[in-house]
Amino acid sequence: MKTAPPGALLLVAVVPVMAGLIATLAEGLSLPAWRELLSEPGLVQALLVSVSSGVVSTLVALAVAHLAVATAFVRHRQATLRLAALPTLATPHVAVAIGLVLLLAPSGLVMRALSPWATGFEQPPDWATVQDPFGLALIVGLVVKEVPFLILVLLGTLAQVPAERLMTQGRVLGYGGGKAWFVAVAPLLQRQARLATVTVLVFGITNVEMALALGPTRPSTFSLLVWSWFTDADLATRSKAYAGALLLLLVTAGVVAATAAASRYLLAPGWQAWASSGDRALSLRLNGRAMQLWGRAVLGLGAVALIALLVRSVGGTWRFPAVWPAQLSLSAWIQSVEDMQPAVTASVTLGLAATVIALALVLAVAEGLHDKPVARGRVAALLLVPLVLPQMAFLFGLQTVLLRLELDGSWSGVLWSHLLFVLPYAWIVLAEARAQLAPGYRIVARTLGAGPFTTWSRILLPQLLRSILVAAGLCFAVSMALYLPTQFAGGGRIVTVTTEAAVAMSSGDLRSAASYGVMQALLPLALFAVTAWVSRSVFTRRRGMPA
Amino acid sequence: MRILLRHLRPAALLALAAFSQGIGAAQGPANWAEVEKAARGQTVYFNAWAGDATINQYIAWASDEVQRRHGVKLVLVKVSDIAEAVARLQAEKAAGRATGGSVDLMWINGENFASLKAAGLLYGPWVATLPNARLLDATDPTQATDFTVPTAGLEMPWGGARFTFFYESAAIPSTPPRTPADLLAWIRAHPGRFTYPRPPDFIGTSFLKQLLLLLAADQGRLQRPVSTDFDVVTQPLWTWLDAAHPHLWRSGRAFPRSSPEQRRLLGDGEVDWLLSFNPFEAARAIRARELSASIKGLHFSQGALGNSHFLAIPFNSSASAGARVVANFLLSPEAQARKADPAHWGDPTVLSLASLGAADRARFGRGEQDSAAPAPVRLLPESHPSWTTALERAWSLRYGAQ
Repeated sequence: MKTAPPGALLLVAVVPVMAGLIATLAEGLSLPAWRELLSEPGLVQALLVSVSSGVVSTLVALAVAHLAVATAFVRHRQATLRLAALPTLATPHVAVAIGLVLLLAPSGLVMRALSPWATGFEQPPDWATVQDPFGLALIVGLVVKEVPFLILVLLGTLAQVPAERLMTQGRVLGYGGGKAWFVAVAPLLQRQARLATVTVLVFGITNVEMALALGPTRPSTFSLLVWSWFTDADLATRSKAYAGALLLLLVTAGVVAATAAASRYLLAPGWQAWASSGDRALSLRLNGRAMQLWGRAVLGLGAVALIALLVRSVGGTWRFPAVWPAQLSLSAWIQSVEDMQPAVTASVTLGLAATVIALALVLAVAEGLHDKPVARGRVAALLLVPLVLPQMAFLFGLQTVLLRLELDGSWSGVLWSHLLFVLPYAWIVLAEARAQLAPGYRIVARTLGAGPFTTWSRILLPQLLRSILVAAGLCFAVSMALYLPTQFAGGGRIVTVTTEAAVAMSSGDLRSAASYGVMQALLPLALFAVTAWVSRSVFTRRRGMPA
Repeated sequence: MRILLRHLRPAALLALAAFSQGIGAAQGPANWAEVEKAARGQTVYFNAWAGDATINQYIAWASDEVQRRHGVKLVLVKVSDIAEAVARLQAEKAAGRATGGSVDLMWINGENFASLKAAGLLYGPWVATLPNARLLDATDPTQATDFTVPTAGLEMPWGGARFTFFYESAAIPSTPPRTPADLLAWIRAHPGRFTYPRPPDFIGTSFLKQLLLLLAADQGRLQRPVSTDFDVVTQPLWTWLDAAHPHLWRSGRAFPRSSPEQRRLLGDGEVDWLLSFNPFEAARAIRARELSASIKGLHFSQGALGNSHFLAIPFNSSASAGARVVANFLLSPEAQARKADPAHWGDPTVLSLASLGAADRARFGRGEQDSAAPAPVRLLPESHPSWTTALERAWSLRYGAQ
């Protein structure tokens, strides 16, 4: 196996981000632009909604994910939980948001199911159950989408923590399961999940695609405002957009720093005091129904939202309060299969190409760094930059860079922008998996006369296969869901299922948005199914292999 | 810069008009065969607002036809607001890209045309070179000027628009309101059942203009650019909106983001009204089972805001021949008749029916005959584009934040 220098990875993934950031800085540091930005009506409110929805959704999602993992652990249901998290994890944000609108809007499925027999409503009530001014619906949407991600991250780190031993020790010392978990195990998991938490927080504050469907409209979230300025016909507004992207970067950095400080100086000491107080009164029974309810409710809501998508995509005229559409017609589907074909092709080819390139690059670089933990840490830190920065802060500038390279609007330009977001996930899964392989196998193979490539392909690759399959599913799902990067680099010429769903959503055409949403969910799930099947058929023939 | 342009406009327009006639004569339809030859094999990226599945299907039909007939590949680039494409053109100009631009044909009107024209980002004049241009309705004032800005052959009329109110006739059995005052009275009597798309959505802003045209003391004032009297001129509009907002859907605290979103609200029964620029929209949506058959259309009795929408070619298009061939096809009686048919789109034609042969003329008229279509009224001219921007800004200052 040839190894690749880490420089290759950084050239692909880090240089464009830096170039984009610099270009945004150059355009956004203009006094008139800032003056206009700061005089924007509703600016403070828009920022407040962005920050509060991001912070609250992250806190709630973290709490729910921890509870779900804890209850699954004590009931030995980790595999079930992982499976239950998969549908919403694989479904892109836009689709989840559309599904939730169909469910929660005043004329949505929930209200229809209750009307008129329970509510007395013959007409949908005039309530802002979505797009409410406080961003509550947006928070629900973010929680539904981020809980599965956090659950998977926590389950992943659970394998690296001696949880069983810690729990036994806690019980021996007379603590209930709840306290033992939250004192001994949860802090260890959370320390490992810090970066994942930051990405969730940043996405919550800065996302466009969920706020479009669920967020308030007067004013909208700050990131939606900036996005609308960037797509304004007026050049003056464009410099305001750059300044806005910088402000978004500053505010997000401030919030992340504040949260880090709060957890370090307020939460951690408090937790420690509680842990060392010897208080054994807390009677949290982790296998009780109330504890299990939270995770189930959130994961269930995500699943029901997907069903709502499916129903809407086949429904014709559908006046309130009918629970079921007056006519079911496949006409929208039959029409859209043809309409969808270019978008589906683009999504699938981009997703597969990004996945294959990312896996190959990461495997090649990780091979060279498998015994260099410090270098691995540095590469990881740099690769993660696109995930912890607001996308708009560097995508505006990146578009200018692509424009100058004449790569804007090209398939390869979009592929490159997808790699920025796919590579970090591939690295997180694969680099550590490679490093944890016991070195003995390789040494024995080489001693027995196998060449480096044979050693890699016959000895190391099979051991890595399960991680590779997990990474492939994740990379494909991530590429599938990317909205802003596709929009910026594709210049509208490269349409994917996700950009189509967002266009349909933003123009209010819920029926075609729903059919695109269904497609968005189906494609990654199909790939997950394929990888699961491959993994099963390979490993049933290699029983006893460490995976 | 803008002020300078405003003062320069009359002289510049005269020069442009003369220039356009010269060009028209030089590369007129005699050379059309050359254009068609150059177009063969070209790919035309058509940037259009694509929030409506029926419109997308119509464009898909046109793509098949121009591929089959002229060997031109037409690719629809869907945008949620055509201003996105205008912004991209400006970025391309700033990056110095004079050829090989990302947009070949775009669907625009109003302030987007005005800003492209002012920035010199348009190809042409080219409209007079199209063989089908002679079929255009020369008596329609909305084709010669776009929001008071002369089109000067830089954009081709594609469809007509008249500001239309659609309502649920089951909920409004008696005579529906046809004046701003009556509408306000109805809104107050039926809280939560009326709304309009949130400006700067195109339909939302047009609703403000439709109201202002009827409420303003002097309609003619809106034909000239905005100046210091903005507050005085628009005062009646804000008075009307202040009175109406507390009784709107969501008590005026939230608005639909677009006309199609409002159409969904009407279809689901959340509101009783839909605003549209297309008088045949309900006829189409009822066929497509998006709206119930009890929806009816009306115009305000004192006149409907009217305009045309257009196709333009950017300065740096590398497929301008292909774009012209596509435009000419879209202007053909066959394509215009299909577009006007509510079974396909239901968008009023820009052709003069008198200039067509009897067979072609018979293809038209299906929208007008539909029971959901409003009775025609006189057209109110669009205001100067500066009013659009000023109204949007004033609206967002007043109602944009709570």
